[in-house]
Amino acid sequence: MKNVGLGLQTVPVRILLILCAPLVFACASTNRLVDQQQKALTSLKATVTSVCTAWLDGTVSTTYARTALETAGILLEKERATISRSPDALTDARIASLTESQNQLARQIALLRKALADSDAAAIRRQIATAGSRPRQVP
Amino acid sequence: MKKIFNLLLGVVTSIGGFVEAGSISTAAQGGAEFGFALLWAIAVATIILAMLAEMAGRGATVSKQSMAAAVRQRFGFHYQMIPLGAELIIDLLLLAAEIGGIAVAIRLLTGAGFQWWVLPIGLVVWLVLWFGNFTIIEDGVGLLGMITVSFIVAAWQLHPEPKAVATGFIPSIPDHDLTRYAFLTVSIVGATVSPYLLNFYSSGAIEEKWTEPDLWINRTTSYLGMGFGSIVSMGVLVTSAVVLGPLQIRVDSYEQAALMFVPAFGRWAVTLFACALGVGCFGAAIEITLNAGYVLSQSFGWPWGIDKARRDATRFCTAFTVVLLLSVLIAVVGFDPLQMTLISVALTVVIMPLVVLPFLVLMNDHQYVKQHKAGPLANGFLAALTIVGALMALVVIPLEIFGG
Repeated sequence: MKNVGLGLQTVPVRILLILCAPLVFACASTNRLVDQQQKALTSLKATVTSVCTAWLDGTVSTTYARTALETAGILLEKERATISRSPDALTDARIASLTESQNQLARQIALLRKALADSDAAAIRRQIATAGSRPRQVP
Repeated sequence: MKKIFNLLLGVVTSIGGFVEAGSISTAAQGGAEFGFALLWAIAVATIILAMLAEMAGRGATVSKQSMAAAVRQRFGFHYQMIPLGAELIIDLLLLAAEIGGIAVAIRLLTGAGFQWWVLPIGLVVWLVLWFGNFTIIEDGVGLLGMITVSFIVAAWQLHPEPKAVATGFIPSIPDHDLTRYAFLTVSIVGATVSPYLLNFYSSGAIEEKWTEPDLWINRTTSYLGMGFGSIVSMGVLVTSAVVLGPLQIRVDSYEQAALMFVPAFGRWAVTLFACALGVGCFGAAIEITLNAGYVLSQSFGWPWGIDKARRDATRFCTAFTVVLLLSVLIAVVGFDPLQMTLISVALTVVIMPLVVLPFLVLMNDHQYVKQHKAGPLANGFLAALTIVGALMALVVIPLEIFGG
């Protein structure tokens, strides 16, 4: 009766399970981190392009656009800090790719802020075009 | 005729304090991330709030005692210290979040860092309380709060699919981010059922000298007034769902939330959003500060009342001044106002059983409510709410960690 089922009562299996448990948790935690970071990055990219598009359309003021970009930059910094604290930051390919995208967005925000300060609409258009297609207009 | 006018005014002005940093941020986040799926949570939370407010008002009208004073008398001073301590902590954090919300609203319009505005805002709140009376404060704040109706106008102009909106009133389980969904559900309940609203409402019944024949006014004001506020919150959620959802913009800052007004109001979008946020938070800041003075004075048996001469209620005035000062200090340190809102909302849920349980006892106490006791339906509701509140209190902190 002792070894019925999966044999969980045998000592080696128990040890294996105990050793694997942190790995399973670590993997789940990494997946969660990647998922959260991906969503945050998508949201910030969309925010930046929407704010700039609205500014180009003359719908929002320069003051608001500047504040919104500054806040987006702060939020991005927080995300970058979170990802750099992850123990898998240097080994996981997905995290490496996310980090690269975050750095790219940080550079883009810095350039957009400068262009905004100079009221350089052409530079802002260029930056948005570089980042991808012009975002969908807010419905 | 005067009573009808006062009733209508009461219903309309209930919006003051209802639509504030907590309800705007949680509804905006819910809409952006889950579409209309969390409308049911606002509806349920409003029913809970309206029922509790009606009971608090009824008890205060009949017994001439606010909730805090009644709890102290019925359960003793030592018990009262627990909800008092919890409520004060939440009031401090919520007040700091509301002050932060006003400061962010000003930043949206001026671009100047929000911490610069914290001290002047604190001073304005204090001046309004020092020189105002209850009618001016309640009606003034409420009427100014009408600007938050712009959320309903925005939702209306965006023509959301009626069937999809209606489906949002049926509780459902999402196909993604279940933890986040659960966290936002609990947060919406916490943001709506604020303990300060209940004690403020019952203290207001005493300030306005309601008598037993006015109980119908209490009933109408609580249900229609809270219902009106709830429709504004739903307006926030629907607008956010229609505008921010498809763009995959999450509401992690008020600057992102402001974008929800762009399609509906164009060039006026940011100005209107900032005004709605600022006025909503200002109303809540006034009410929370006043409530802190009420709850402290009522718990310690000090003379209280905003209509009293300041020299006749010195400890009451000192109490609200100190609480306001502490909150200003918290806000000036520079915590993110949105994060602080979410933390205080989660803490509100933690103390919910402590808030609801006394209702169950007091609303069946002949000394407190005389013949206006709770019926079987109300008792069933309170018992269920105590249990559900306790469950939510248990899960809210893990949810905050994993889904917040």
